[in-house]
Amino acid sequence: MNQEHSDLLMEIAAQTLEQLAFIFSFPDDTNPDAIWEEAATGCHVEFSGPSQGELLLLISNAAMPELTSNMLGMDEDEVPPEDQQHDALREALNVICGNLLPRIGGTEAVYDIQPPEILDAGAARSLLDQIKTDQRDYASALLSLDDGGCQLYMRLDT
Amino acid sequence: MPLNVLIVDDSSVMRAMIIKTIRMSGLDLGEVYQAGNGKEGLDAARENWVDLVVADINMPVMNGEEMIDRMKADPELSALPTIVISTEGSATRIQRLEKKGVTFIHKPFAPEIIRDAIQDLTGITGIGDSDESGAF
Repeated sequence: MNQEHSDLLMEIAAQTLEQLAFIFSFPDDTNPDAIWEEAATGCHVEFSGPSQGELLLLISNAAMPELTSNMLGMDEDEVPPEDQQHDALREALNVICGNLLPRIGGTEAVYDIQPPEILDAGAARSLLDQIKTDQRDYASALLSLDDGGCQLYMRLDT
Repeated sequence: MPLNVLIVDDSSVMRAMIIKTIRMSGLDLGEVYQAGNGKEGLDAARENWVDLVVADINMPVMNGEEMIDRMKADPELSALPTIVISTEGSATRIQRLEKKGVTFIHKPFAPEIIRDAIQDLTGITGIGDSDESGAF
């Protein structure tokens, strides 16, 4: 695992959740598989440029309504519909990816980021296993949230 | 006079956040048009009276940069004030956009950044201070 990239991933993800959705998170390295013990949704994005790779985000389903309603400034008792929750998650991953790549490749580097896609937990887990198997130099970050957790993985081909 | 705004972003959540932020800024908003990609945005700009365009860059079908290039090539739209709100982190791309006359705002954004950009671009004064802090 690439520790430098993992630290960066943790920093950018925590900043994005706080600034975009007012969600405060804390680093959690106690149980990297904790996210699988509860219902979770995955989101995946691919990028290309000076280096290419992909970013996978897994988040507890329990955290999705807060993520969405905070982004939209909805009342606490309003529950956003699922498609809106998915859209909010795609946008959050898009912002994380867009802020992460210049920190890795420098601000002169030009990257193309594909539209993020939602994955169900099974597909996300398969992709995660593939990233871990194919790429020993992956980066990962696990964040603890008020409602569950959030886990990120990045594969980077140099 | 109310300002008609066109928001072009493939994320409906981001469009809603931008609209909310503009409303929070105290701007006298008229019609708000929305589009999910550059092609729809271009169509909406041609079909409606629009005073300000707020667009993303990474979008399917037609990206924001191509939409801006087509607007610049259209005498009816070439002078339309345009703000790009994007996660784009490449200084090369941002400078290229700024040379086209657009104002660039990075995501996540603070509400007052949008307010100030609109004020600078449109020259409209009397936009109130946001009473909410934080970033989006």
